[in-house]
Amino acid sequence: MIENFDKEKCLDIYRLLKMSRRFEQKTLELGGQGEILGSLHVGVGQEAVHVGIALALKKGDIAFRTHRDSGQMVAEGIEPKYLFAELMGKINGYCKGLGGSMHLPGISGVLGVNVPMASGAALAFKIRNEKRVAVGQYGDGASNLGPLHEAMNMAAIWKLPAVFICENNGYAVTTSIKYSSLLKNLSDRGKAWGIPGETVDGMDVMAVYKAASRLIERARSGEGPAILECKTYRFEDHSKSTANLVLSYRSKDEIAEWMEKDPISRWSGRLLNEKICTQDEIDKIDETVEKDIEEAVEFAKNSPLPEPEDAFKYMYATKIEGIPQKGW
Amino acid sequence: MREIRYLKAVSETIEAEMEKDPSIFYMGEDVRYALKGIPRGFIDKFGPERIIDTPISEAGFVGIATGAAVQGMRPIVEFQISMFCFLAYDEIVNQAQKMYYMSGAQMKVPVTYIVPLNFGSIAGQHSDSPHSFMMHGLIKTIMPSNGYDAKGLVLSAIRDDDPVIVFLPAGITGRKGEVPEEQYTIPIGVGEIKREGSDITVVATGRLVPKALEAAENLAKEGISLEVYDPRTLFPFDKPLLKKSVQKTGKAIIMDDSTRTCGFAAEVAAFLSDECFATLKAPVKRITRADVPVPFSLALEKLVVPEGVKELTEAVYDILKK
Repeated sequence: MIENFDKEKCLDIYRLLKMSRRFEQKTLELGGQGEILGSLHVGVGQEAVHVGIALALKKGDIAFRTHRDSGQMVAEGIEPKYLFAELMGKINGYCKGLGGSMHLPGISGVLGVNVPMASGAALAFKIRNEKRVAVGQYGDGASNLGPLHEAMNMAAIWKLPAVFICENNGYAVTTSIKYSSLLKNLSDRGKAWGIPGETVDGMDVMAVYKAASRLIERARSGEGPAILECKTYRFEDHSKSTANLVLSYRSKDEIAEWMEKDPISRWSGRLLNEKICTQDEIDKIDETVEKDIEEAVEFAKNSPLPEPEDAFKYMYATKIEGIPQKGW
Repeated sequence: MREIRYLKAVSETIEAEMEKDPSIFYMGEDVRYALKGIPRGFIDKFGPERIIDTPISEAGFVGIATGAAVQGMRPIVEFQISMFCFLAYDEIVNQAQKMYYMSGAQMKVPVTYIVPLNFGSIAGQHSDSPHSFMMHGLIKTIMPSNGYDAKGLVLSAIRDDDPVIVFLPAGITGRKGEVPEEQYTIPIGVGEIKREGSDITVVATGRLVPKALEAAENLAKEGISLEVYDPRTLFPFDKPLLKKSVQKTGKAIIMDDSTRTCGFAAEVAAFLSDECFATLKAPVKRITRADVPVPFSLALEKLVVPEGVKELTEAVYDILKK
């Protein structure tokens, strides 16, 4: 047992961590092969945050994530085959090929504005008297965006059932948070809105889970929102395209130091140390994950492309004659 | 039929729909005290849970409305000053409007934005006409020119499953007119011929519709027959109805308060060139806001913002070479 998790659940946490990572790594691989077009912002290294949040959410809760959190969608139980298909622009994609990696439901490619979205969902829950919680995720970079601050203030004054989770991976593309904020801990910003703020080790899935879970339950009980900062790191570059530029904003030593804290080997190491499972059992999970990922990729590859006319099918939920217009 | 003020027509349709549909809430700055005159007395009936005063945080509360809408609510968001919607442009155009499309038709955003327009010696940042910006963002955009249309169109906006923005033109929202007591809808995208005529089609929007009707009345005495087309919905405007009218008259003047460049009138003129070229007997004329900010002094404003009757009459004479 670790916390309230029995052996089976502990192994499942390992599976989710691995699944999130392999999903993200696979997208990069497929990107390199030209199977996935456009940009990719992978969360490799940030799995403890993604799985920790996914574990803390209860049925009916909702997370508004960033474009680096597709791995979290996998951990939340969304089938990777539909995500791969979306990233390949296929008709069976999660958004029928209309969104792509930066615009999956609950993800905004305009970073930070999913905090107002999450606050709005929380407002809906509160008005309807539902015991649900909305999580709004953002990075250290988006922590400086105006609408994010506006929404956190409103969530605070209205005591909305929301938790704001900052995935502080240290960099907004190339800009260090040490440059763009004087604060050591971004959770201190909670003081500005009169709400609690906590900082945890974002490379430790249990630490994230415990803090997120406590703050989510606090919000559910009507005590209002809180900020949880998870200090983490992205092992890959900002995006597929910035990786090609080979920029030197992070030192090799720094990257190596954070990779020592790898959230997956840390969790498996703990399971082995505490004799919760054997290496064999972990290897078996790795095999299953590989198989699941391969099957999902196969599904996506075999999916048909949308018909070009589909570009005009889903513009409005309430249809009106004459719109949308075509361009020629 | 009873006569009530334009703003009262807007107010009562929202009130009646809120009584019926608990998913509607009304949000904005100073709405508890109905500073802009719409949710008057709502706070006593619906309470602070549904009549929500916001801090000065346009981008934030428009984003919150989107999040609530995605979770099944039907928010009505009021902007205290029309230009404040610029503060939330990303939230409206890049988030709320695109959400349904980007999500592959999974996330609906049934929000209604209520934007009272301003004019008259308040200048620059307080006297713009942002409706063409919203059209450009492909937001369903409504600008009713009387209380009857306002009541029916606002109800359609609330019941629509997409974001809809409603501009209430200053200067006419205090006017009285016949409005039925019962609830009714006017479909979005359907215009109306407010006066039939045979010489020139006048396309007028919002506050300029009564001006066009006044000019038409005056000119009728001189034997000039104007047909006044009120699109009521600016995006999408009623193209078949306009086409039919211009095919009949062969001439068109468009009068609108948005800027000359990329304004509503520019879009209508482009449509007429595309679809009615063969039937046009004269160049299409546009009467618009000039491409400068609205100046403070009324002495200056009169050359920037059309008064309506004067400019239209001159344009008519010019087209008819009188």
